[in-house]
Amino acid sequence: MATPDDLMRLIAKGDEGAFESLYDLVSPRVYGLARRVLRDPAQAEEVAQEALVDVWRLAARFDPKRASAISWIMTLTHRRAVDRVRSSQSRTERETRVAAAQGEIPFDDVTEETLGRLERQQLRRCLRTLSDLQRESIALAFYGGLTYPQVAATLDVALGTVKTRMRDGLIRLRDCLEVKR
Amino acid sequence: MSDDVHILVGAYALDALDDLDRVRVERHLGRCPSCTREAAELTATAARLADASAAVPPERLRGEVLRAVSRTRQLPPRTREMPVGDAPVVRRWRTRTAAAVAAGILAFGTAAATYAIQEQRVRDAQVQADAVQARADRIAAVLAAPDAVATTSPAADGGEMVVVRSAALNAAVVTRVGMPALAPGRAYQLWLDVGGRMVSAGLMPEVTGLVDGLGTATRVALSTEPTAGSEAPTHPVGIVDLI
Repeated sequence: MATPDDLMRLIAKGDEGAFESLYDLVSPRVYGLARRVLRDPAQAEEVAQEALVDVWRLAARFDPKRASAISWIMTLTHRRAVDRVRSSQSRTERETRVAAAQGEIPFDDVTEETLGRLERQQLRRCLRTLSDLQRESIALAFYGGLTYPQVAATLDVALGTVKTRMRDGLIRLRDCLEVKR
Repeated sequence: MSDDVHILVGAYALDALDDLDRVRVERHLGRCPSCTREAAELTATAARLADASAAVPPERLRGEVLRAVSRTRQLPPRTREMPVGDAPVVRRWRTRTAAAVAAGILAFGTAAATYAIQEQRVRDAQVQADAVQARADRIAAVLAAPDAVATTSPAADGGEMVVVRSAALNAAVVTRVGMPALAPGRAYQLWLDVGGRMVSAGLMPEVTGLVDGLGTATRVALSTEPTAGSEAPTHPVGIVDLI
């Protein structure tokens, strides 16, 4: 079966059929991440559409030497979702959101074949190697769409501590997951 | 190299920075290849967090996305500037104060900046597209600042260096106008004269550069350097007084 990296090469040349195959491979992750960050299904759908159309539009700019296809796609999606959080929500909504945000990381219940069961187990295991503060800081930023000052306020810790924990937490996660790029 | 900025690489990878911090980090990354690698690895690590969330999208999304794709033009691959080689050095500059020409230069500077932003938007769109927007917003803010002062100075190798600065925003926008493309292995670098010492303000790959945080600097300068940048300017092409 073609991988997202294989498909990206064809999509970069304008192959709509390859894009259709990529859609089937990655759309649950794209939509799932958008929904996790935005919570509202209607907004998540819009953001997922924007991100997936970005994948098509920017395909020729995708550089496989700099990132894997799936990493590039999820980064685009996350950026789109966070942009939406920060631009469309009123101050009050954002504050409610900060208050409601959780530092823990629930795993969506999905058919794991579509996601790679081993990858999910590895992520679960590696997240457990982080300190509570590292995990909470990362979760609030990534899934909550919060900026690091908002994370610091939510966790009631110093700004400097949060930015340090985000970096050393990600480094630990990188080493545990053996992420190369 | 500021450790303070570097420590933000984690927050950067998590999209947890506001626009100004993101621009600061990107400027830092532009000067530090090993930091760029760390940022890429941590961004890829953050992307793995998406493995925890997945949901079957509504059936209609597939049709909507495929329809949108069928009518969306793909952007072409990146291309490089065509080098024309370095012209001989002529160390000569002339500064005009802005009062007489401010309106014209501002209008021109805005047009040039808009062009540069478009050009850069296309290039950087890969992942960090909205950092460009943040930078564009900041550039637009400087150009539109009530206290903006524009100065233009002929550049040593041809063309002009246009500087629009705002004391209130503590920032300046530098635009290269009609300067020659550089030979391979060369790059434009910005400098601030702080107490008589030239301090790097970062490489300037685009036609328009933003210098955020002027502090007590008295002059802003532009030079051409090896692509990695230099510790001190070796081939100045333009300089403009800030006070």
